[in-house]
Amino acid sequence: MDRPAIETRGLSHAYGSVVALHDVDLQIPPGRVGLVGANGAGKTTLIRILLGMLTPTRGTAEVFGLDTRAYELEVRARVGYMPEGNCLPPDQTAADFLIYAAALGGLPSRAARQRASDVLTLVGLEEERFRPLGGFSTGMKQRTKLAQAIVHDPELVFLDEPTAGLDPEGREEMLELISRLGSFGIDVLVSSHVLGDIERTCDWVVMLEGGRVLRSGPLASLVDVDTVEVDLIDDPEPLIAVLVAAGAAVERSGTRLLVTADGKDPFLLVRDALADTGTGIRSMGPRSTSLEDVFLAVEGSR
Amino acid sequence: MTATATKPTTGRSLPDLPERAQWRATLAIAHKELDDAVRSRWFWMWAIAFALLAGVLASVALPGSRIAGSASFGRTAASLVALVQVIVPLMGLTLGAQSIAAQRESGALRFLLSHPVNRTEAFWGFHLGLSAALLAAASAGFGAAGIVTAIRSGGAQAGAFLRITLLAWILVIAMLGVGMFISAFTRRASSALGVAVFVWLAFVFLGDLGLMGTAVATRMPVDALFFATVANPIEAFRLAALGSFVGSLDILGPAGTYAVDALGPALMPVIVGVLVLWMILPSVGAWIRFRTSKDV
Repeated sequence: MDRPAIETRGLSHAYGSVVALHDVDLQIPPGRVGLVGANGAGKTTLIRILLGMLTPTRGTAEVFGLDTRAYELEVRARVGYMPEGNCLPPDQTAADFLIYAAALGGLPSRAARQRASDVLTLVGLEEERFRPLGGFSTGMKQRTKLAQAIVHDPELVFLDEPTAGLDPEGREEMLELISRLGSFGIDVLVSSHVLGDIERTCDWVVMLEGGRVLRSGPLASLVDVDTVEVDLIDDPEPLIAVLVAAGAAVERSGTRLLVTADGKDPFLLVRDALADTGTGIRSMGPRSTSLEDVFLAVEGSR
Repeated sequence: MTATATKPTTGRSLPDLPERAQWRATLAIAHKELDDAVRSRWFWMWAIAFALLAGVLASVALPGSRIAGSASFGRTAASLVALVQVIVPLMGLTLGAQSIAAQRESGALRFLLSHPVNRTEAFWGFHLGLSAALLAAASAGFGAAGIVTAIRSGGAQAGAFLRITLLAWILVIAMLGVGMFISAFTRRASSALGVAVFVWLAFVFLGDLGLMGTAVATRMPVDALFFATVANPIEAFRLAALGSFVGSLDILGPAGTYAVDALGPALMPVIVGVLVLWMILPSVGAWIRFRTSKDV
């Protein structure tokens, strides 16, 4: 990793006797990063520390090499934040709210107006910009929150549960918007307990559980487990015997086999074993392990 | 910035945050607070009620103005002072009490502090915006009374009228500061509002009747009675306002006579100074509490 966008060392935080983060060491590269974990895993606490809104009990956190305690304003000038809860004033129009957010980001009045208009267009709310936010649907509110997070042109944006409460259509639109942020030069850290959303939008994953880091690494390295799934027509036992003798691990469920092999290509092993035993098959292919499988496996192994 | 701050290790230069930009954020927050207050039903309720009552009081108190002249203005001014003593503190206290606690409760404070805005800029932005809203509401009442007074008695007492207006402005900002002080220490807006109403009752009623009762029961010395009275910002306003159009506090009885004798020409500056201290100290206390608070 060249230069991490986010780095924490021994980061801990406690709310009284409740430990929210415990000795978190992270190095996260620029790009699209997913922060996954169940409710109470410490995701929001980590984000607030990274924004300089919370002072950690112990350890340090840096964003773009800036200590978040010493350079909180500089960090927040370069980072946008889409909070999970509702923070939208119901009486204000979307345009006024975005202009306000842009002014808080330090933009002069005219630039704030222009930027607010551009960003509302980007998130598909240009027709609704003069409507009070109180009358917005959940999807429109989420898009407004995303718009305010990027209105001051940050280099990185933290999105806290961006698809919470959205219907399938709204969720698709939000994920599409998140995917497009990279093309504007904005790195993304998405916090979510919906693992499918992370799988679709991110290329690096940090798994948190109980305030500790379970895994942190490229998504591909976590979910691309070499497993071959074979559905057989004939009796599986002869095939299983040959595969085990060849050093493969086989998991059977009826006529379906899941085959893995440490240090060997399971496809070649299965192909050879099928030829040796003359077993007929219905189908055969790679079984991609979802992020959810990995999360549950890692969590279960603790 | 701490001495042990980690140095930036990226090649990027730090974003430019000149002083002007920070003032821009404070002004943006103040502007939003003012907008929110003006959109609120409470603001209009206070402004209209105060304007109506002040206008009616001025009309009722001035019927003999063509004959009595300044004596009639005295009645109008006394009525206005009595009205201000009750309404203006309640306006300031309730608006201030709901400011920080309500923002914290609704998540608006978290939203605000996620931007490149520090707590000092946020606090004084709230204060500035709410002060502007309260001054506008108070001015509406004095404007109504002033128009009636000017029409019926001419502009002869304009100076005294403006002095009372100025004192009311100081009182409302002082009460805003007390309200924000309560708000800075309270997690829920409803709790802050409850405490603010209690404080208002203490200032308006207990500070007056309670002090009288205590003075009788404990045979409080006259100097202690005077300073205990002046320590109450509402009483300080009343004394300063009465002094500004009557010219002497002898009318207040032994305590007034003592004050005139003991302090002489320094009397009015002392009373106004107390009011100014009430305007500054609770606000600064609220700011310190908010600045050092970890709650978002």
